Amino acid sequence: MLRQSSLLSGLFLPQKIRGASGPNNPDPSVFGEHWRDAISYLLGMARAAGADFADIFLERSEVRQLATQDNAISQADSSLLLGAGVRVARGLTTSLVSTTDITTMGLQQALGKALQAAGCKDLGQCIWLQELELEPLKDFAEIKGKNRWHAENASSKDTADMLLRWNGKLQKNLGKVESTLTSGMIHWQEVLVANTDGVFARDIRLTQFVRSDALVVDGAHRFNARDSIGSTGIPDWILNIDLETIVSQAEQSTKDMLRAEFVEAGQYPVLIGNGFGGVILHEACGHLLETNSLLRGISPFKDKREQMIAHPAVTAWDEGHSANLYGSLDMDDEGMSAQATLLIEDGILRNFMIDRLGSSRLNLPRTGSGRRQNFKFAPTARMRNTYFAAGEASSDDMIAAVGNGLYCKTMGGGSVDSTGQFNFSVRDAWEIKNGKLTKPLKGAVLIGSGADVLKKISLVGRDLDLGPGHCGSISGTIYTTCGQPHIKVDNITVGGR
Amino acid sequence: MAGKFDIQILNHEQIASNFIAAIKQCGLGRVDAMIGASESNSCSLAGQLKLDMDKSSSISIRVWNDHGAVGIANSSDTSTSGIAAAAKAAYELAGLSGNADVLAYQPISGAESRHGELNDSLADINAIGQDLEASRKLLPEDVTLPYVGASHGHFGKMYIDGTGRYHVSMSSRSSVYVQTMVQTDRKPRVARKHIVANGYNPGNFGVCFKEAAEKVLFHKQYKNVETNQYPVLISGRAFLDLVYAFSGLYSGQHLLDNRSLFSKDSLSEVVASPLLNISDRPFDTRNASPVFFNGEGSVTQETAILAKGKLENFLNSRHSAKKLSLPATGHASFSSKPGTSPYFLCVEPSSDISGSFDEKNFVYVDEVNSLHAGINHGLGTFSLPFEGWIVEGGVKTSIGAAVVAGDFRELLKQIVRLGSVAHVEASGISPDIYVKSLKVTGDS
Repeated sequence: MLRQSSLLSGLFLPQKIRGASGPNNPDPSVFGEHWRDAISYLLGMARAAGADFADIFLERSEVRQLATQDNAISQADSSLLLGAGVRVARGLTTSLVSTTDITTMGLQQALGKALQAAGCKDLGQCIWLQELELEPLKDFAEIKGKNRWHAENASSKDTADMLLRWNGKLQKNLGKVESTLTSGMIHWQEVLVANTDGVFARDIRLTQFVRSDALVVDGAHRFNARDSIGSTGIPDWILNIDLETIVSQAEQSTKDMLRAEFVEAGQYPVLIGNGFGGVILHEACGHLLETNSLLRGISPFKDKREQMIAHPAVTAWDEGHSANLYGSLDMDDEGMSAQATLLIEDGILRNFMIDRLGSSRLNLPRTGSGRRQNFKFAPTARMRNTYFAAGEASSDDMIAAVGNGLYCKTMGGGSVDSTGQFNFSVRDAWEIKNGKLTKPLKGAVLIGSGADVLKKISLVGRDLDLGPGHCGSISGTIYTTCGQPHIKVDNITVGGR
Repeated sequence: MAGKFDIQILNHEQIASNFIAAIKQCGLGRVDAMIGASESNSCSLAGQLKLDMDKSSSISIRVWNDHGAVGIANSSDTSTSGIAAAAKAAYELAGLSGNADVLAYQPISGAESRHGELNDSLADINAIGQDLEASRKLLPEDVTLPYVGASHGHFGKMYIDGTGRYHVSMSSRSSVYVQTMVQTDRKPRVARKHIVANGYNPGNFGVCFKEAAEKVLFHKQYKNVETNQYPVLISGRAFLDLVYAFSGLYSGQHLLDNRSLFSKDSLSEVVASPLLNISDRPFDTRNASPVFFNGEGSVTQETAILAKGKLENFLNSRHSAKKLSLPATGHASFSSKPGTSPYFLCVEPSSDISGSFDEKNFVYVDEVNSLHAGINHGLGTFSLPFEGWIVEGGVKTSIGAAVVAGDFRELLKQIVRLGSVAHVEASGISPDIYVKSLKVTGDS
């Protein structure tokens, strides 16, 4: 649809002069269909000014954080955020203007700045404003009954009571506990996304996370028994956490690790535990398959599509649609429905993770992976739930196959540099001698390069498990899941004391 | 110090007025707030040119209820109604606990203060991009840029108490970060340089690109090191990273929480090499992010942490100081139980020597990585990947990939020498540090 904005010497007139021809300010207290006019008008302007692509991301969020120490609440915080990110792409330039002014005029000013920065025509030079035809609103919140989530999630009082119960159980079961810290986070987020492709979509997300840390001290021996769990989309999730199982695992871990010796540094075959052990896939390979690594030209996998990059035992997925996983989302932050992306199949690289602009620039299909921490960050392809698929080996067989090496039972965090050189800390480790677990070890760090380690994964177990994590990268910190069954790596460098 | 506020990033008088109106409307008396405002332009090159512009403000409001319990709420809306909504949310959260061991309310006791000057204009986003492009052309042909980022921002911060009295500060700060890469036969090699400065100085771009290029070209020829104990020379920047990572050791709040490896009795004990003097100087003139007041509304101050290897002070908020019967040092985050972290650490250079160091055979740790994963606070140990080189017979060669590991408290005692030049970094100032021995694991 075309609309003439002004007949006066080609000058764009501000909205107050245009009067009835411009859309009114939509009600900012809720996102939905009533934003259509304002947004299609703004996106039409972007197109008229010469943008190849533009999008508007509106966000409202509320984060409640509670922390307890021993038997008291030590922190009770709430954060409210309301704003928009206006993005414009032209050629190889992308500009983003973020603003907390979501009136039509505020968004228009943000758009004007973004257009100018990207080298588009000044809005004042646009005689014709082309109102963009948006698709019917795809309202995932409405379709999936999420509008009630805000009212239905656990109250702060109930959440605090649960955290205090958790502390109490840790103190009772672990023995010689110096202090216990348990914290919980409930993040409710409403987003509305529209772009010059015609996308017009709304979603509500509810993400919850709890972590605990019990410091156990026995003379010179100290151990932090840590755990973290998370979910999406279950309002009363935090009230139904299985404390018995979690505390029992912490108890076992403390018994094993409190008096553990330091690991001896060297090169070893290792068995990496299931669940959050999948951080090795996330760091060693996942980041290198994201749009950003490809556009920067630094990924060792950039020209390896349909080629063997891993041991044939390896199949890996990144997906966003498994129910309630920490990295799941019904649509990404560019309005695309959740997808499952087969990254590696029997050792062959099948797909990358590609966002909207990466798709144009790399001529690769989008994968519904465009994600951002909030409106202040431009979205880019990021991981969601990323895991090695289950194989056929049993844990016992794999321990026997290691012979003499290291069992990395529980992994801590890790990181990867832009060349694929990675490192991971190992929280709980065991020595493997003559195919048997012998004694617990602490202080191990695994280092290596992503391209190398994928080829050294020779056995994959049956016991796929998953764990929540927080991933920081250029579009901010996002919620993800790491996962894998047990895997055997034939040889890796282990740093230690 | 009276400051000039020619450019208003933070309309402190308006916000103070909104704040007082909001808490009056809510009927609250024991309440304070920290307000932040910023306007920034940033530009990055990472396969594509990205230009980001942000202008935002936020308020964190802390409310005490009749039982002395605290709730905090943050909001991006600093209007009267926005502040009132946040204040109500904070009050509700305070109602969760009646026995919490939290900070007591106390209005600003001394004079109000205003700090910093904003008398430059925000650098135009396209000008920043042009400065980056111009510097990029200076690079040798075989050096590529996986990532380059630069920004300039105006930042305002304000603490206000329930009576409407406040401290306010403004700063203008720029940052340039350059990552360079070269291809070798075996694998790509990368190097980084980061400069943070007061105001916007295009001259920093050239310096940053030049140093990052020189460093990566040096790393082009590298070798793997044997796993072994080595004498280690730690760069000032890497040492500062370690001292910050283990700041829980000398945090009063950590001591209260039974999380520090030191005890109150450690005060005045020798816990490090006698060569070591470390202090925290929040508003040192070389600090591009000076801190003049804290989350309790107290003014910050210089604090000695280590003097000749003796532990001189724990960093204490008013809250932790009272609990520990120790002096407050002006360290407090805006929280119900304020954290006590350092602001800008300064390690004194020294010409003294307390032990031998083989200058012809050692490992140089230029930059430590992955601190979030490789630090064990509970044990005081670290195991960190690093970039650096090995010196053998006086000849230095870049190291392919390696991890340096040890016990931080042991490291402090094993310092045998300090460099005579203090290097200014974004987080503090430190000379290079000579350590008798640390374990280095090489990746082959």
